[in-house]
Amino acid sequence: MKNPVDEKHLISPFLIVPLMYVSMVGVGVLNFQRELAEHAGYNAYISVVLVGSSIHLILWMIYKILCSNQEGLDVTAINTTYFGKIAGNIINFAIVLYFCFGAYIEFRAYIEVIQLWVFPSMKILPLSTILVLLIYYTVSGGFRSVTGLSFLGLLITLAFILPENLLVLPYTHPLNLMPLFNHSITDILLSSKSMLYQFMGFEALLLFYPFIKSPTKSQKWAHLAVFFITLMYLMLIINTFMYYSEGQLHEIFWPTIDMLKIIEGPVFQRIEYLAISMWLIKILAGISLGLWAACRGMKNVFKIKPRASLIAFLVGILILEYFLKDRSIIRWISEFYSDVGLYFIYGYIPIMFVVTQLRKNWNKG
Amino acid sequence: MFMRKIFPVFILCAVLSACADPKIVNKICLVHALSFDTVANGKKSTALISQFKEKGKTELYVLHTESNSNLGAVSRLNTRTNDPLERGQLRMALFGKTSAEKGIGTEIHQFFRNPKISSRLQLGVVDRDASELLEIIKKTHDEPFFLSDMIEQNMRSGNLPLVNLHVSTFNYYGEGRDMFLPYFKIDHGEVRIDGLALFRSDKKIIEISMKDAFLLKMLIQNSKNGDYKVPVSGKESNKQGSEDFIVLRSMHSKANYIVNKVNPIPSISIRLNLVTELENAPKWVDLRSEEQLTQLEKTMGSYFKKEIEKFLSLLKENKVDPVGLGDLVRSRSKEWSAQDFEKIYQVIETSVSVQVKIANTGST
Repeated sequence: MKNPVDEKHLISPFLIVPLMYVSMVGVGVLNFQRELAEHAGYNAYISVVLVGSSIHLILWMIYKILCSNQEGLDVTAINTTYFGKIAGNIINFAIVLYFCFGAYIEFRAYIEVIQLWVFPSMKILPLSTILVLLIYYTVSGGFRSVTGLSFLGLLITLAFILPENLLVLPYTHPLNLMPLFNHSITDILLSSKSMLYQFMGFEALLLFYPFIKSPTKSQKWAHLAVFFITLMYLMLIINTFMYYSEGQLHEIFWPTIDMLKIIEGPVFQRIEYLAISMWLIKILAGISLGLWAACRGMKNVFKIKPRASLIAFLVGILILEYFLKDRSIIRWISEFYSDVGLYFIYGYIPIMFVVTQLRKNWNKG
Repeated sequence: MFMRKIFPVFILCAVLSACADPKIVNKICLVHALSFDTVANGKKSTALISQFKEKGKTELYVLHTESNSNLGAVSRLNTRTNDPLERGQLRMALFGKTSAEKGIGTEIHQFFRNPKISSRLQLGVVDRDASELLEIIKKTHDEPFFLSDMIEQNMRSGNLPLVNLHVSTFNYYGEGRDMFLPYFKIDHGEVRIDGLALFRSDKKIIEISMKDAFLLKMLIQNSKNGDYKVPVSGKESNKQGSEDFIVLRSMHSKANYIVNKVNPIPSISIRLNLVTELENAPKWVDLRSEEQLTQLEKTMGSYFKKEIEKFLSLLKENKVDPVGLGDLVRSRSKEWSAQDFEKIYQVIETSVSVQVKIANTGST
């Protein structure tokens, strides 16, 4: 297999684990429990398992799609070969916008967390400008620096998610999880939709696939990452459900951070400030990966230099962040994004899978 | 080359920290305890405040404010200090007797929603005006964390079950369970924890003694380190007709709940296992005799059974459910509603059996 990307930009197959992690674990991990419980109540952990297993299937499809050609191309090239130049590029542009908006939503949510929990009186513009500069610095460093930051993000967030789950154990009521099945399938599927929203972003694999050295070897690592992330979400949601009574969970917006308020360390009386600050690295990595994918798409589609499109995207994010203050529009954007993601993952990818497999058999025949 | 690339990151991170308002410890006043009372013409809030002077030296103040609502008490108190008030070190919130009886839901909601307030905040009810208690603390102890430390000490090594803001909101917002808070009493100018105040929704209904608090602790968690006095009467002691007492200390306990049936009237059996250490026993008990110890275990078991049954019927009579029996029934039934359970709470069947084991008889 020949790879179009220069050897010095490639990453080892196992480094796909941190990349999958930062794209699948976003700000949502701080408050997904509440949205899930809205429909399926305390049965919502079933949704996590459901979505997690479906992601395994989708991931397998993605690998099949990308392996179907011999040159190790990414999805933009596949789109143009299969759908023609114009239709293919329209799809490609939609994918670029999708990643760009994903990054914006993540950015927005993190700023909201900072304003609510750490610095209530901080002005948005200086804060977001500095974050944007950091993102520019990472993305312009190329794919390997994005991977490096993701690796740091993985280590740092694991360093607090796992102890958090252990330290709240004395306050848990396992009885909360009973009865095991008292919600309808519809409720559980509705919850699954908001769970999918958390997992969105891993499709970046469609674009960074050619950057993996011997890509086929990375498949087992990717599955391992998805398995591990599902397990983490599952552990977190079960712990949250045992920690809060159902009525209590309705009253709070950020259950994962709120749980930290019970932990008291020898030096730190309150851990959440530290946790939110450390979370910055992971958030930056997630946003950088999304923007990197968007820039890569722009380069493939319109032959625009990544640096130029990166600057355009970042300025766009800043402008949106500064001028868009209406909460209902923001809510609408993220709902729209989550709907698009639903069709992208469960619609577009399976269709592409079918198309590429048919084509492959056709060629053989 | 590498340094030139990494340098801007450090600079940017340093610049980030300048975006916030600085809060320096000797330029702010820390609120350590707040109290809420109902007075004739509205509500009174009192705060115990400390101002940092130099290392190891702080000065305590008590400030009052009156208004028609408890909301925004801290911002009103702010008009009485030279440095801004900060709530990050709030450890204790007290409610006066009348205000607890009228309902403390808004205050609890306020604390629960405020990201600055720790989940370990202690709440408590005072047998009179809560502001009096703060004055006493300032006068006699001059120690800002005295009350919260007192509660925590009693949870660790006494009869008080685990309570804090998280546990209270868990019980308050959770269906099928009710809140309980430590109950303070002032006599002869001294403060003591007298037991627990039991709530229905956000209103205080009754208070129970420290003795009953131990029973509650046994029913909801491990009652380690709690102590209890059990009267025993032996053949030798009958002469005077007076009762002798065994003072026992719990080393470990576990409650098992079995729901026998859910409909139409739930029936629950509670099995308690208690491992104890005897702190004090009457002279006539021979602690080396296995036979007498087994007899003693039986006597204590049946005494506990009687007391817990009495305690449960007290709860049912007052329609308060700090044990969470409603939640227990909910976890065993497909359809459950808090309103329906409330109607039948007084008639649900509970049977208790207690196994006591003496693990340690002391030095005698």
